[in-house]
Amino acid sequence: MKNRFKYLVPIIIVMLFICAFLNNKKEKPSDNIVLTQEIFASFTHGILDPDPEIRNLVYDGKNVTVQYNILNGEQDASFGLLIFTNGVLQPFCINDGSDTTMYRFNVLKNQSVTFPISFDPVQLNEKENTVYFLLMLDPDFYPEDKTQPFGHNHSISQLLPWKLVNNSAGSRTSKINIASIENFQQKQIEKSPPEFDQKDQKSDSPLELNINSECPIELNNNAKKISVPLNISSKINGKYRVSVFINHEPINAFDGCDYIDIDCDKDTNYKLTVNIDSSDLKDSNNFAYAIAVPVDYNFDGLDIQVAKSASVILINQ
Amino acid sequence: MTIKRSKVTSIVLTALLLMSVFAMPAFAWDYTGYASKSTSTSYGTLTGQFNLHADDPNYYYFEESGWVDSSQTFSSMYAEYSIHNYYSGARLDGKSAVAYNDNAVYFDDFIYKPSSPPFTIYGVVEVRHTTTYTVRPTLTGTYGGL
Repeated sequence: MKNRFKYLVPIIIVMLFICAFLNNKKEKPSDNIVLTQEIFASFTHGILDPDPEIRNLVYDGKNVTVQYNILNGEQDASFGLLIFTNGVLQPFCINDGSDTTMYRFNVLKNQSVTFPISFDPVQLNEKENTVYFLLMLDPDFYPEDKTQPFGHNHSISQLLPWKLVNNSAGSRTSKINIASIENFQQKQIEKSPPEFDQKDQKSDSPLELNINSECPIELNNNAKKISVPLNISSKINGKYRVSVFINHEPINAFDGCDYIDIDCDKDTNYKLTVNIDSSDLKDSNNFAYAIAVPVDYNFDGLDIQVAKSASVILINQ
Repeated sequence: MTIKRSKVTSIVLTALLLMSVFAMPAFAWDYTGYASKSTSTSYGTLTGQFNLHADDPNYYYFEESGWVDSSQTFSSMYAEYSIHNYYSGARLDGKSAVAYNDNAVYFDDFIYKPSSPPFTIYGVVEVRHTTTYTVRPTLTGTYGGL
């Protein structure tokens, strides 16, 4: 018995060292670079009234009104609220104030805020319409260092789409010009390999949108405009209305139009070249992003969502 | 010297316990980067999580997952990541995924090592139901540039 267990303790000690060695051999996360910007952790938002289970708004000639709620998480945060009706940026007012296309507000950590939103639909089809509510994180963020990414700032969180039923007489089209992809010259359309997995209903996101450019984008004094590549990658068939924003305002990026309608085919990449005019820029702190909003939404089908590109810095030299 | 059987058993058990504590990060949590954020919802806790593995010499293997501790399913679960050059801020890559009528979403991706500069990863996990719940994990560090 004595001989049998004599070497047990040394063997165990050796094994412990082996395990510790294996553990130390793993590549450790290096955290010597620390973000200077605090990260928003979490929040909850939605419409309390009308019933969010039904997601139905009614326009009967008077302004549409909803009660919107935000419950903030563990950090103070600022937000910007945007609304799109049939893919067009919707002016709205809060607490009977003046019209805006982005309502900016601050919410303390763990604070709940509820406010009424009222709007007169900028676009109305005769029957069904689609309204998207988007919440943008820290819309006033601008990197102190031009090489710092926006990170979570300017990213959007969205509600499921709401149906807007038109009970008033007729339709309404705004004066907004909308281009179509068929007539847009500066484009390249490519088929990509299919990835959508119908079987388990899990897939890549239906649409991805990116401004593919060197960062930051520089516009020198002599140039009146700059061409910027906008890539749209679609995994499903669906119609989207795309707009480009400078400093949160839509610009005439598509042959003088604010929006372009793209009837996306499944597994197809659309590479557009959009023009940004120097007159759309301020002296400093300019940024751009693109937003694609589904139109002709099928409420009986899968939920198709709004896509936003990452914000990119524009420098007007 | 006589060693009793019970004493041997206790030594072995203690050693095994210590070994499991030392070895756990090496064998069970096999990643080089990890980030997680959680928030409470009226259905249960929503968690968004990253794992970045560096075992392959050519690629980082990246996983993002989001789930709600609930048997309830939701209209859609959404996850997204974007990877940015730490020094220039330029977006290098990204991916997103959506799961319908589910309580979890998951995807994985590969990041080519030799061409990757140091990067930061930003992620989003959202429950889109009657209300939208969101968490945003971030993975910071000098990953890449190997």
